[in-house]
Amino acid sequence: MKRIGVVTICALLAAWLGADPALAQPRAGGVLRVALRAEVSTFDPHKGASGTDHMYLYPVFDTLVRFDDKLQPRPGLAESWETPDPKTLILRLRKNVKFHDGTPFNAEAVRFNLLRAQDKTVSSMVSELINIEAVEVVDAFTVRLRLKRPDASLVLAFTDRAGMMVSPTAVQKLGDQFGRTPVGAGEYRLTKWTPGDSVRLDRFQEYWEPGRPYLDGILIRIMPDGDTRVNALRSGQVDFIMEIPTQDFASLKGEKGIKTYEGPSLAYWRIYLNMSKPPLDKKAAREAINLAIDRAALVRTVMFGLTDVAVTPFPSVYWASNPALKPWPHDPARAKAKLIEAGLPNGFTFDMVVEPAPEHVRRAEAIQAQLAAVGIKVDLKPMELAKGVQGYFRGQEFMAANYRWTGRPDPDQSVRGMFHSTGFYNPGKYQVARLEELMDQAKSVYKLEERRALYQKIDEIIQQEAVDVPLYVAPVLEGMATNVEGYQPNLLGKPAFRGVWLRPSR
Amino acid sequence: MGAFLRRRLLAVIPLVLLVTSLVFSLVLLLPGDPAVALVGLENVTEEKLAAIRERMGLNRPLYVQYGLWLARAARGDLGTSLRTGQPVIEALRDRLPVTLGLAVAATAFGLLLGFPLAVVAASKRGGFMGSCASGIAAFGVAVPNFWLGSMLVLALALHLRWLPATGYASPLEAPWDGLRHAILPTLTLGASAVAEITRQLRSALQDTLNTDYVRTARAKGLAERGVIWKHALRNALIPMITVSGLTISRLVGATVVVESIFALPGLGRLNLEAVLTRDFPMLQGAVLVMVLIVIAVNLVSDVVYGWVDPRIRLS
Repeated sequence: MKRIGVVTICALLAAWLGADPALAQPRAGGVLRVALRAEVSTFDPHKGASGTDHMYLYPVFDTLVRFDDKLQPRPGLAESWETPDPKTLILRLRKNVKFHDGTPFNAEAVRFNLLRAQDKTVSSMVSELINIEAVEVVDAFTVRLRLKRPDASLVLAFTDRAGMMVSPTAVQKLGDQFGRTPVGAGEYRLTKWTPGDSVRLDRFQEYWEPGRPYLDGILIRIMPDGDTRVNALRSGQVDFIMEIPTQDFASLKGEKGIKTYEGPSLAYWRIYLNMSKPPLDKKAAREAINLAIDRAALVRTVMFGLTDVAVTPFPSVYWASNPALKPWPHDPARAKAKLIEAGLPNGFTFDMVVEPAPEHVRRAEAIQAQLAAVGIKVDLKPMELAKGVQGYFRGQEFMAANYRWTGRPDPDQSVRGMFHSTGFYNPGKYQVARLEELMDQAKSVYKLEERRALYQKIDEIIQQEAVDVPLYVAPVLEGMATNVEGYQPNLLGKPAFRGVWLRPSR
Repeated sequence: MGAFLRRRLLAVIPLVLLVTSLVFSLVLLLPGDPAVALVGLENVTEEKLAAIRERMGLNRPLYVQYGLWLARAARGDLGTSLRTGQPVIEALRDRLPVTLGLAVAATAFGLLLGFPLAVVAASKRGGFMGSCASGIAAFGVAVPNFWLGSMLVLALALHLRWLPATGYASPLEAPWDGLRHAILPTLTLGASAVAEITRQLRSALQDTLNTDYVRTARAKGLAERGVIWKHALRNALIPMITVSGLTISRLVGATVVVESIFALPGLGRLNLEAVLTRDFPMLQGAVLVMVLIVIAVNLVSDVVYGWVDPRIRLS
């Protein structure tokens, strides 16, 4: 009797769970229709440099390593990896994996891929793999990487372009055409590309993971205009959109048949400073700038409250961020005191490049007004992006730039790029010796916990030295039809549609 | 007529040369180095840039670059996209029908609606109907494409759900779907055409209605309808050839906005994307084709004008 009761309860529970759509079993079939802002530049993962390509590349190319929602590494085509010593990384590969053209995936294929990704004449990611000295095939499913120096950032680099595996036979056969007719080992194959309009991906029937993918295919339509994407979702022409314009988000949020996602990303808005130029070479002057900015007001007015103020180069949910740090307070009185400390009682003037679009100019003007209140005058230079970026980073023509930092999978890529004296995004090559020692140390330890501790220290010094002027986190704003299930947003803000399935109707 | 045609065609050649040289040099004047855009700013090294400039011929003098470009263009080779590697000519071939179709449909819509509106506005001047017609024309001139497009989408696609909000379907492959997708962009783009044609035809018609021969016709006791349709309209129509030509030319330019709003894979959007990504060969090709369309339309309307009105041929 007792047993029957338990069974009944279980059955009832199961029926109830089954009725709850959120807990329903994934269903196979259907085509997910997606609208993206930009077209893929090339389907050759090693050749492209555009950050908007990933949404096209993820479905076609499986990666050696995958990442979870906090961007920590998870097994991918490499089932596991180990570091017997800091200058050796051993990858153990998954068996029974095939590329779309039937080529088997094995250690030779990995070797081919990594050598290609290191080849200067082909690859746009040479700098990420610069520390790999040799790629050795140990056996059919084991690869040993010999490193010039310890490099813990490699594992997460393998979640990105550098870890995307292309079919060696297809590359040899297709040559330059590979970028237009790609062959990977991912869940979907490219079946039709209508340049300027759409990309059609179809289910790869022999994908290694049983039962995956759920969808029959993905149809990506290119819609550069934000309002157009919103309209397409509203009218039911597409099931998923990203980069929703902030002003449209609130109205979309409550709409019937639509669900939205808002979350942080690794990207954040900041003021880039050329710290080799006076007076920005003085810590107190930089502190004054940081103290004079009212970040909460910027979030409210420029971002409609859709994000958080930025504290460190990383959002609080990211594994490398330091939760103990507080955001810079808005303290004009202290800012003025800092100016006196810097020997600039009357303030100073600097020029700042900004993109000419209204939202960017609006943000820059708000900052300009806030800084003016403590006596720092900002000379705004609205300038077309390509020209501004070139002028600021390469030409050192301006003191500052108000741009976004687009996130990278590994924290080393971010902090080294912006704060190391060799970093490209540090145009004055300003050096904080303590910071550089810590970066090198963090690169040479492989345990995530140890790395975390080091990056939290790095975060702290970045704030202490006021080498960063963080403003706010760039939010991920996505919208989808209510029948889209299983979607996992990520901190890169680049949707991968792994695990997505469709309920029959909205 | 033969001599006139020859003269007109010959005049096009220096025009094309002038325009192509302008297109070529203007594109090169755009800020931002295409070589840098190609490798990504971060990966830039001087030797890499030099190699790319060498490969793309960017290190040669401007006139040499132009000469080479022109020679290749004359053979139908406009190079390949810096971004995607697609041959430019292939991209243009895919996208031209979308833009041309849209411009022609919008002009047809403009004529279809502008014609009766103009007649009403001219003949019922001062009356309620006349004021309405003039009002519609004024509205069409004043309202911006992007606003009208958004309003139409809001009403007809999102609210009433009659038509798709975005996208393109080829009318040759799927006639019904193609038609449904074409309606909103055509209305959006055609609004200004309606206005332009109404205004021009109305004023031409009004001028004609004030001429002596119309007064004579009226004096003979002809019904007003006969006066307008039989006598006045025919003469007033001649300037419409030019107006239609100008309208098509203008609409080709306006497609940049409309194609963005409705996510149509046309030349206008190709242009915009090429500018944003510093895809110079693509941009040169797309601008060239748009300019050639405008020149061709003007040539055709000139020739038709000459054919209809012999006085033009002699001048």
